[in-house]
Amino acid sequence: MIEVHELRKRYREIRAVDGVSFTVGERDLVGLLGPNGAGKTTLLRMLAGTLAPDSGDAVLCGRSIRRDSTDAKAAVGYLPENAPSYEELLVVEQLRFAAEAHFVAAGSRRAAVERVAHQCGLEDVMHRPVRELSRGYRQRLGIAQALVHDPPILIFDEPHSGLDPNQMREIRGLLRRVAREKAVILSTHLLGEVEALCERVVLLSQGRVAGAGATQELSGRHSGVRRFRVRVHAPADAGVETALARHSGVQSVELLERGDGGKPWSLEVVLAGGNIEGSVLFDWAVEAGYRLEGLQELSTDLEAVFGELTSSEDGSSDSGAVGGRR
Amino acid sequence: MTRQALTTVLRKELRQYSATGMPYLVVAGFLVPAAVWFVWFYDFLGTDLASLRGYFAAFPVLYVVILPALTMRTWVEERRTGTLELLRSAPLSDRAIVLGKFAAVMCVVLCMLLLTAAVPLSVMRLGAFDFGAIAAEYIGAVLLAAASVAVAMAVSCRMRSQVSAYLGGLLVLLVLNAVHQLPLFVNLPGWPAEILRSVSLEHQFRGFARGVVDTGSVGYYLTLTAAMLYLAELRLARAEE
Repeated sequence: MIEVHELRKRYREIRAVDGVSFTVGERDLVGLLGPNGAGKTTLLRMLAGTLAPDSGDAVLCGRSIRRDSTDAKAAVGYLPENAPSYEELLVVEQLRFAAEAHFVAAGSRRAAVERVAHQCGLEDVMHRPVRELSRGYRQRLGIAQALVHDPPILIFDEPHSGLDPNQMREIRGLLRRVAREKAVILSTHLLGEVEALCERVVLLSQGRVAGAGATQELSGRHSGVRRFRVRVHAPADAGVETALARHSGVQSVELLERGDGGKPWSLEVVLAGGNIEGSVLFDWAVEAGYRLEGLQELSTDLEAVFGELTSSEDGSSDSGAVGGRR
Repeated sequence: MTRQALTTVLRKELRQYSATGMPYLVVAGFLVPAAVWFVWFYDFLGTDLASLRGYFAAFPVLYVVILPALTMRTWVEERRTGTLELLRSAPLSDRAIVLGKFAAVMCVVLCMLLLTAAVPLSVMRLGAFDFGAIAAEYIGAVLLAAASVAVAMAVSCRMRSQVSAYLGGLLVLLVLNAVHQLPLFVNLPGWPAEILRSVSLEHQFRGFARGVVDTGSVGYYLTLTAAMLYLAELRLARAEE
């Protein structure tokens, strides 16, 4: 659906996007992550057709952004950062304009506007000027504009920016709904939103792809570690933490609460190396003759991975293939 | 597709204009001084001449002050609010965007010129006016307005605030209107003075104000309009950089 090949853009001496390649399949919701200045917005602008690349290309639904720019634009619904819209217009006028600008046929324009108004919960504010809308409604309007021509590709740049937690939850639900049948690229600073919404992640650093893959994979396995909370019934004098620390694949063990026969031991275990599946801990408990009461994988820190992959000065570069279906 | 794109932008611009009320101010700001000039300072009633030459002679000066007010927000607001990015992400060509915006400003200008018809209509029975001359004066007024709007739009394309867009447009239009006066202050040989006269918006309008349609002046205005719109289009392509 989206194939990005060695896309490059310079602003004078600054390489904003430097040879970025990745692919996004149909019905993929891909999170685009990176620190400020990593090149996310520049990359999205090139994909949305508002900025011409210096070299490289991207093919959106078979249309090149360099050779068939206008056709490629028609395949994309784009929400720029801060969800801009015309303050003087009414919401319905804004949506009608978006439909006209994307050449929605005159006969089906009204239905298209009503569809997205319903989808994005804008029915109550259709005849209000945009300037009177709250931040949450503006974001919804921005998303509605991106959807009005029913494009196969959606590109959202910081759709959560400036929202309170309730609005953020609403927008998250909306994104989930609208993204079911589309290929979506979602750029955000909010790692929690990426973990909640996206199954795939492309991590940019200094204009290059610093990491790409499934969100879980990137948060845990990319750095070669997984963290688990283990609750196990063992005698009070069993020395569980020492025994567990010696087990194959276990990198470290932190004792959270000592067991006493009735109460289970509670430990945080970090697995590393070749075998980092949670079953390692299950096997250990069985071998030791302990009863495993709980085994919970702790949400591995995408933040830590983000820091690790984006903090290096040289910004290790590779290409990422992001595929698969949600 | 380009025509549809152009009308889409045109309709959007007109909706915005009608919501801001700016055009009403601009039209009033043109009509009132033009009428005051014609009746009061030019003293049309005291001239005993069935001609609107004095009325149309004020147009170039009024355009310099008024038209940049119509074009100053064309690009600046789009850029400030981020809607330019939204506009350019739609499958509309940059040419359609520029032409749509230009057409919207010209719609306001044409309404303004239509309202000036109240002056010829009200003085018509005072004498035997030459309607051919009046038609020529209107043709000149439209062409001069088109060239002035295109120049002001090309200037505002480079500006970051509405004030600088207005002042920039005013300054460039002022220079383009008054450039033929330079030989009055600087001793220039014949051919440079002739070049300055030929590029002066005001000088080219003199024929029209006399009721003569000079094809050279028509060509100049059309060429200048096209060149300035093309400049705006080129600038727009680099707008996000």
